[in-house]
Amino acid sequence: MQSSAFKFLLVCLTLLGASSFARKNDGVRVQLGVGKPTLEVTNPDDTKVNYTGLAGSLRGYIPLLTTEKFRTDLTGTLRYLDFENTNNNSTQSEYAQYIGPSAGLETSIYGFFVGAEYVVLKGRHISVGQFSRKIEFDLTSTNIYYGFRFNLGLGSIGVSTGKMSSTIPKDKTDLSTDSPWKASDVFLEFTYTFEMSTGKFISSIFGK
Amino acid sequence: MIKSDLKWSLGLVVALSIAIAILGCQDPGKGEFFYGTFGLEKKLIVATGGTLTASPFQLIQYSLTGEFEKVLYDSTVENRPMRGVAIIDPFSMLISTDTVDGILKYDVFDGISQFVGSGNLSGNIYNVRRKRSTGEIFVIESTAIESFDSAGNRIGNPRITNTAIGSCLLNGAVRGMDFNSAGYMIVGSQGNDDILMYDVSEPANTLCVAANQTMGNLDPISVLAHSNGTIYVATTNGTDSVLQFAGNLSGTGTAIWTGIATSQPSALVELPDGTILLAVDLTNNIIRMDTEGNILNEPFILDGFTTFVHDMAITEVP
Repeated sequence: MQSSAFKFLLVCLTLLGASSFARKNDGVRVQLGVGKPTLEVTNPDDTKVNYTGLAGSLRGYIPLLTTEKFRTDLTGTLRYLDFENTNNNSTQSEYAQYIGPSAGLETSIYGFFVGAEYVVLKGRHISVGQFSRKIEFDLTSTNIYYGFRFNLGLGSIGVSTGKMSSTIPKDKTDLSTDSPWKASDVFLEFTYTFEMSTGKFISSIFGK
Repeated sequence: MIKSDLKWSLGLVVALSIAIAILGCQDPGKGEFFYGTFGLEKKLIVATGGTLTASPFQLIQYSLTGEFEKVLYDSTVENRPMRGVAIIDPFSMLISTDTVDGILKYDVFDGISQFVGSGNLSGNIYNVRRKRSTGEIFVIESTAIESFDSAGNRIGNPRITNTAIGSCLLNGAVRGMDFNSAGYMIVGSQGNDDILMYDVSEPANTLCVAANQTMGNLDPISVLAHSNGTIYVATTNGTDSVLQFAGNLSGTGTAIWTGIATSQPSALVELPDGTILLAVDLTNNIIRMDTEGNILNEPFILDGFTTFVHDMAITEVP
């Protein structure tokens, strides 16, 4: 059963990938992503703190190097992550939000893509219930992600998964050590490719 | 048009299938709360109280890796040796004291106050413990066990006396007390060298759950109900040792740590990672070992504050 499903997916990927590059491949792109992230923070005594939630992202692509089947883009992303602790109960809950921009490079070939970006996030953790407190901090990370995109004319549908790691600084938490921070996510991505190159796109924005 | 719609639909189905497949591999499971959100982290609390009046009687805070952090309270001038410590909540703890018999409350914000005065306690005061499910406070008083509600009102007269309840008998000095995950109280009785397990759910109807009478003349001094379900007992007569018993107290204990006749272990506590701290009076230090007795750090702590450790506890974080 699993083997049949895998073969079906493989056939779909091949057909969609082969039909994906009938048009010119140097257009500026924008992408809207909806994701399911998980977050793991480690306490000073090495106990793990787990979160799940929802995420949204808006990413722009400026092509740097393109051929019919290959392209490398400069990317800029705005990302929002919303988490709740998996340990939440009727007397104590904890929530976390992160928002911030990132910039990086993405390379794709035949619909497969891999990217790396430098991420800056403004984070906030809030405890609610018997004990209430809020902490805010900034962190930076590198996000490595990869996935597959089905190019369907000017639009495309894709799926990606990525990982980030960083630390929450101890001076923002009053703990004795920095707290290791690891996030991973799965995004469903909807991408639209404009029928204009970078230069034309910029010119159109400025009306020239 | 139909072909385009079909491609979009197919693409969406495949993308969703892949996303769901990846998500299926991403169950983070239940964890803890992030201590940083509360600004709190677990600490090791050590209560000291030597038998000599010259000894300092202090409540000390260490990190979980054994670094000294601060003296929370010093009762040397009041001549109150500290014999037990019980964590109440993330911001407060109780300290049982001898000589000036009583229970003090240490609050992070309000400092020290009296929880139970000497009018309700007398004799030799040792370990104090809190029963998590009810908030009741239990304290060793010579050959008996007293109890109080969360406001310090006495329950029982005393709660458990040196009269047999089933096969459980407090005989001679009572030393070492802890609660297991089922809420049963486990205590050491030095007169008969028994390890006893009581059901203290009903103040007027204490029951004997189990009594281990296999130790021989070893004088239990400290009891630890470990999260792995077993019970550890430190002994101070003969060859001083730490014995491991089954969680239901059946069978004989297995020595996981063996000292010498004068080692005088005095307190046990479990760290959040499951390893065990053992205070040893002969060497004035605290040893860290795993649940099999393999030494991990010796000393884990050795400083001017560990000359006579009577009890240890780990603070709570929500």
